[in-house]
Amino acid sequence: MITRRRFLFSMGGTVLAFAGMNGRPMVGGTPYFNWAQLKYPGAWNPNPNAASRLLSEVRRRTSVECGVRVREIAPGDPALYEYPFLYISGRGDFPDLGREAARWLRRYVEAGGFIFIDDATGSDGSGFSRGVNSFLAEAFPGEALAPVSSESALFQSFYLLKSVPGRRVVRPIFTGIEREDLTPVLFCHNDLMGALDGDRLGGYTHPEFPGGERQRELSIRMGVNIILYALTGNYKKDQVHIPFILKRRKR
Amino acid sequence: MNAPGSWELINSSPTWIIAVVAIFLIALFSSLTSGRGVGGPLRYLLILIRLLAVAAVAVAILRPAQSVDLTKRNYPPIAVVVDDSSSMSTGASPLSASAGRWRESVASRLKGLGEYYRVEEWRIGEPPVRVEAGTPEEFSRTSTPLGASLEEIARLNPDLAGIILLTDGQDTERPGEGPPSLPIAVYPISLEGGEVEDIWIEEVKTPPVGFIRTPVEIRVSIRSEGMGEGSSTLTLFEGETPVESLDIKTQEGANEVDLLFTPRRTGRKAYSLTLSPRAGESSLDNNAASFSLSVIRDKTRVLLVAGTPTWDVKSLRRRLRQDPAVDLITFLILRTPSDLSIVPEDELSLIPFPTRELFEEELDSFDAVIFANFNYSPFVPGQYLENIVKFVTEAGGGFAMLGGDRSFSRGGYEGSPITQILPVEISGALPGRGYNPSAFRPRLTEAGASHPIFKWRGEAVENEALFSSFPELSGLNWALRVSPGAVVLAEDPAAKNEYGPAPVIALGEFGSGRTMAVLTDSLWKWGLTNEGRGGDGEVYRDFWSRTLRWLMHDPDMELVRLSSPPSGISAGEEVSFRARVFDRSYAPAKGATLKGTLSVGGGTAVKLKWADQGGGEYESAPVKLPSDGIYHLEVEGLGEGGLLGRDQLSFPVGRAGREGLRLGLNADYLGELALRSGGRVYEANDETIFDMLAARGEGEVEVVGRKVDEPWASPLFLILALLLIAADWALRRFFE
Repeated sequence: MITRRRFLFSMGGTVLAFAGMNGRPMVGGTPYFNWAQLKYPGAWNPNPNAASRLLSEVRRRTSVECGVRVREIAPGDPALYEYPFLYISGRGDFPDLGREAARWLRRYVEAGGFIFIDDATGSDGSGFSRGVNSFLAEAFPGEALAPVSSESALFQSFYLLKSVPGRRVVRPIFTGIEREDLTPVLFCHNDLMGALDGDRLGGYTHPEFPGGERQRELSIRMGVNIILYALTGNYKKDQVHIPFILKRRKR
Repeated sequence: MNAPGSWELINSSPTWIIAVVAIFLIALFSSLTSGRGVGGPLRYLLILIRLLAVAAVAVAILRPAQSVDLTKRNYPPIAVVVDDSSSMSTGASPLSASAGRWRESVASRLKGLGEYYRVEEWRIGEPPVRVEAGTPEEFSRTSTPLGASLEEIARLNPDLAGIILLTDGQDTERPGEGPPSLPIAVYPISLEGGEVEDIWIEEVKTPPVGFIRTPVEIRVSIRSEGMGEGSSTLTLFEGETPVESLDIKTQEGANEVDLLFTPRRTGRKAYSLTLSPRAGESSLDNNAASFSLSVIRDKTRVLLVAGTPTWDVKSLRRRLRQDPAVDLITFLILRTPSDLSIVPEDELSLIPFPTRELFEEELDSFDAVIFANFNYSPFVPGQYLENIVKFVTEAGGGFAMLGGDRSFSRGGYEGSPITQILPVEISGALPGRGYNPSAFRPRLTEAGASHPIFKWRGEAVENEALFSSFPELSGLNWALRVSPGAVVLAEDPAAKNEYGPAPVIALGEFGSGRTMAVLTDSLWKWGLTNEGRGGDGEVYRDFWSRTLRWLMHDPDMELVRLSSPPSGISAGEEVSFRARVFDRSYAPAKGATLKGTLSVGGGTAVKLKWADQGGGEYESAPVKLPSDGIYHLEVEGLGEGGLLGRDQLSFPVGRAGREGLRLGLNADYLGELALRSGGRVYEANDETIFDMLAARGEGEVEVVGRKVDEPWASPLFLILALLLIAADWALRRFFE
């Protein structure tokens, strides 16, 4: 029997549910994945609409409900620890964020956070890449970025992929820092998000690049895989998946 | 050593001898030079008298004496050892009767041994007992420590000339071992009779430990004597409950049977085996055997099913995968039927969700199942939820449901079988409104602050303080109220209905299993967010570790814990039991009341009286265990506020002993025993053993002293000597 008190309580919960969204637009279910991006002095957001496009694709293609608004995180902001996924990108130089910020980032990874770094310059040895490398060296002393194996769960967390696409394939591999059989710090050199960036009307910022639409689709798939990898870790390396994946990869 | 009856001089030092010789020479010289005026025979008489006088003086000085050794004959001991165990008196023609006839027939010969030996009579035992000769045997001993008894008798009597042994040779305390090698000859008497027609469980070989839900293989040795081929049924009981049964065919002689069974609960379990009786068996007592087995878990096998990848699931997976004691199987729903599929399946890494295998075939292989934000209906047929209910209530498995917008009432569980095992009632939420994603700050309830799951610190107030320092959570599932008998550990004080604050974490016990409801999907913030902000990230890992242990009935997390009694208890022994009792804050309980009962074979339970020994230790008054069987001990502890907890254990009594397990004469054992000791087996009608012993039984002569006889040490001899000297002086004076 629904009492008046229970009815009011339920309605109160509903109101709170929408009030609790903090203004974030939500489509469908509760967002279980929110995109946080490092906002540092400089060209920190070279592909401003890429994240929402990728999140939209993740929502369409997978069971993961995503908030589509990007949460900007300043270096040292403790709000970072509310967001287990952090995106760092740039097209210019990456500044020296200091020792405190390095410690802040290190604690984040140690506590279980995931960092995806995308070099939007689309060139090897860019100032962004050098700056990020320097920052990571301070944050993770003794843990240099190393090539990520194509056997990593990253390449099979949702789609079966073989190499790293992007707007310009500078390196067909990721580099990263490995911990506990995972890669919590992932570096893409190919401007992956640049392949997805566009305007609000559906057009793309970079309509043409080598590889064409197939490469764009593969970039979306890799983006989906990165988010699923951040959420599931080595799930696809569990024994139960191996025979299926091996069979499909042989086809 | 002087020979008996030999002569010697008591004063035999050179000084005395020189003095005597000097006297003799002087006397001789003076005799020859004096008395020249005396002629004829008289002169010779004077010389003779003088020499006799000198001889008398010499005897008086040198004191010649005859010495005689005093000796005695030592009779060495010989032992007659009788095995008075009950196995001697079993069967149609028991060996005890043969032993009696033998003793009767050789009574006079045995007595005759007394001429050569000290005959001692012993009974086997630990320690063996020396008895008066001719003491009748009762043949009621419940064990046969044959080898140990013989060793002890030999140790106590290193001079034994031999051991005459009356036994069946069935050493119950050293099964499978050969006889001891004794330094004393053993002469076993091969008693007549003892033939049996019997089949029995000779030995049960078990692994050192068993693992829960994993088949345990035991090897049962069955021996058949005089029964020929036949069929029997071997049944295994856990306590009083049959758990496995096997129809077997047995041959004459040794048989081995492997029996598999699967323990379902952890703890020290008592098992018993029975072999169905066959017609004409000599004994049915040996058709049963018991053993105890500690059942532990090697790894906690956890099935985690999540409706979608979330940070909560990721954090939980990370935590569980870090724990070497956890074997985790995960299934995440990565794509729902409503999601877009624009690529061929073989470009995806998705695999089918093996619902039938998981929830029908393999469910019992798991220790715990966790549904994390999992809306079952698109993936799992409803009838499989019934299997989960049985998994909990009947198989003792653990189940946890974690919150989210696809869980509890939002997951369609209202009215489903799973509500039978949820510690919260989820009915009453408005359609589609069963989940509130807002942030909230939970608090520990009184029960939560003292519960081992939240025992990060020693005191409840410290745990409450720590808990309140955690970051806010977000996302709360609707629950009307806690289920009857369940307990809320954490609640949201800001969300109330007529039943009180909304439960956040609740625990329940249903049947033999335990369940947990976590009505939020944001516990991951106790890890990442808490740790990032300088808090202790261990609290999150610790929480899940303790939760799993609680779900798995970890004995170390119970408030009342019984200690196992010693193994090998026999019927008739008095035993005290011990228990550790904790109060709700898990401090050693003071002044708790314990109520315990002890029962055997489903019979009347005996109430135990418990005494507080301090420090949370309680001990029962000694209780006599009247008979063999599987005993079951149950105890419940009551403290302030009521029941603290219960514990129980089972243990076997009796038949731990092997007496009667093997019947008949073990001729091989006796032959080997005689061979190793340098003795020999004698047939019961062969009395040459006594001839042999008599021939060897001269004993030893021991000199215990010496008797010295001086025949001239008398006053008469002294007078005679004086008279000779006086006569010599008087005659010489008269005639010269």
